[in-house]
Formats: sequence, structure tokens, C-alpha cells
Amino acid sequence: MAFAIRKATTYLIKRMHLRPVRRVKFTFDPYMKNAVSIRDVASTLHMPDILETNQGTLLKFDIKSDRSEPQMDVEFNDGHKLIFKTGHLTQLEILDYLYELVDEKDPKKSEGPEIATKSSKIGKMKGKKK
Amino acid sequence: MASNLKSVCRYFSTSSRLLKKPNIQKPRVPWTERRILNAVSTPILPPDERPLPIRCCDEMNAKIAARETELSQAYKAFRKKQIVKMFTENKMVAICHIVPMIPRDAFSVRAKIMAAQINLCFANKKFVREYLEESKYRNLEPYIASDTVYVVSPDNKVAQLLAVLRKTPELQLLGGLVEDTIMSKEMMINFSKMPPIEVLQGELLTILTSSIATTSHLLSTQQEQLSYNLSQLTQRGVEASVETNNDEHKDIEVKET
Repeated sequence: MAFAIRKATTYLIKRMHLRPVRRVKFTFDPYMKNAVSIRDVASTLHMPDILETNQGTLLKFDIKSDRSEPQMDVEFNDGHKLIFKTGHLTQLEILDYLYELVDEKDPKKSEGPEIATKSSKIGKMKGKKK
Repeated sequence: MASNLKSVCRYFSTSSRLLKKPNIQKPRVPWTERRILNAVSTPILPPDERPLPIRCCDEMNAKIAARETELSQAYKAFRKKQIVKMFTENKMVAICHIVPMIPRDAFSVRAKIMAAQINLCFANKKFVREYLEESKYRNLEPYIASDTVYVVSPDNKVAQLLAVLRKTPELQLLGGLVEDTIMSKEMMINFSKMPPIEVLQGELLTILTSSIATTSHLLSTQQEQLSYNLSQLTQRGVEASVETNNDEHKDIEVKET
């Protein structure tokens, strides 16, 4: 993999989260050569760091043997359903599209960042001592 | 002292300006005859028609080749030998997709598989592909992509394997090699539902014997029927002759009286 693609992929993986996602289903026939990208994406979304962002997300595999085209079904918490037909997409492209939508629907996005005050820091320190 | 300073400077500095002035003079243009000789003697090579990624990687490949030691080569040969061993010595080689997990989960998955007396093998994709290209299992190649792991056993334990994999969602069965036959997931599930080979051989034997019996029966029925009819006919003929003899005797007796 080219260096630039690898770098872009790691950039997306670091920022990826599943907060607004309820269910993801990976359907593919492993014997098809165009199923590599969906398998890579499945591995990426199963990474412990990404799974920790929403422990209620269901990730499911549906492995077929009928030469069907690879497909990724994403169901969001607001009922929106998304279908990726990944036959002609690379891992980076799938992650890019998915991140765009996931980031748009992120419930934490409207919240401001946590302000680290002096008192909160002291509180944390005390908690650690206990 | 000076040499020490020089070496230190070379180590810590990125340019050589500390020691001497850089030479920024342009190279002199050679005289005409020399230029003509150079122009004539430079070889005209055909254009490089290889794809761009391969052309660009020439230098990198040379660097990698230079970096390889005897030890690393021996290690690679060892790994390749292990792959060959895995495919030749085991009757069942199931190829599974493995998802990333924390070491504790990985340990529990391995423990579950080992409890069923099946082994879990990891192999380099590149080496496996190299081996498959040359071997008779070339059609297994599409399965070898992304994160794959091999669940192997010297005996045919497909049913046990499926029972274990049902409880481990971290491993997804893609297909595999069972008794020198390349199988997809569906085929493996159907294969596990089949009765043992001894029972199937017995069934085959009964089917074969029954067919032979029916053909022999069909061939012999007509002959049997014919022989039966003939025997009946001869019996009737004998009976009829006996009756006629009796009638003649009666007629003679009547005449005598």
C-alpha cells in the first residue's frame, strides 16, 4: 500500500467511532476477489478502541457462498439505514464515507470539550489516591 | 584531535560546511570532440515499460535485499517449510477471518480451540500465496486476504470445528481444505451433517448389490417363465396322451365285450 494511502487510513482509523451506529452487517462471499476491502473494513471496525466508543453496537458477519457482491449495511440510532456496495471501493473510500456520516450524526458533537479546571484536577487526584 | 573533532562534527551535523567551503562551481563544459564522443558512446536503451509502482520500487527492493542477512533468510525458509507442513500433514485446514482483539480474548479463543483438540496456526499471507501458486491448491488463493488464520487438524473434525466456531464470533469461517477438497463455508456445513464414511460405504454397497439383484432378476424372469410354460405344456401333453391311451383301451374293451 502506498505510503499516502496508509497514512490517510490510519488518520481515519484514529478518529473513527461508532457512537451513532446501532448495527453493522457485513455480507460477502470470500471467494470473490473484490471482498478484500470489506474484510479490511470489518477488521478495522472490530478494533477494541473503536468498539469501546459504543458497546451497544452490533457487528455481524454474513458469509455467503453464492458469488454475491460484497455489501455493508449500517443502521444508525435515528433509524437511518445505509447500504455500501463495496465491490469497487477501497478500504480508504469506505472508511472515508462512513466517517463523514458518523461524524455528522455524532451525539457528542454538539457538546463542548471538557474544561479542565483546577478543582476537577484535584478531585481526580484525590480519587486516584483512594 | 583534529580527526576526533571531524568525526564528532560529521556525527552531529547535517552539512559539511563546518569544515570546508562547499563547492558550488558548475562543472566545466568539455571540449567539442569530447562532447561528441560522449554523445555517441551513451547507450540508447529501450523505454522502460514496466508499471510505475514496480519502477519506483527498484531502489527500495535493492535496499531490502541488501538488508537481508543469513539469519533472516533462514527464518523465512523455516516459516515457508512450516506452511508446507501445515497443508500437507493435515487433513483439515479451515481458513477463518480473525478480527482484532485484546490479548485476553485472543487467549480465550485459543483455549477454546485447543480444548476441541484442533490447532490454531498463523502464517504470513505472502508466503502462503507463494506456496499456493506452485501447489495444486491454487484455487484457495482468494481466501488468503486481509486477516486470516488457519484452524488445522490431522483428522477430519469439521463437526467439532463448527461447534467451536459457533461459540467464538471472533473467528469467521470462510472455507477450507478437507481431505484434499476445497470447500466453501456452506459445503463444510453440509459435509459436517453427513454420516461417517463407513456408513456411507455400507449404503453404497447395498445400493450396488440391490441393482445387481434386480438386473439378474429381470434377466432371468422371462427364461424362468418360458421354462415353466414349457414344462406345463409337456405335462399337459403327457396327460393328454395318457388319457387318449386310456380311451383307446376302453374302446377296445367295449368292442371285445
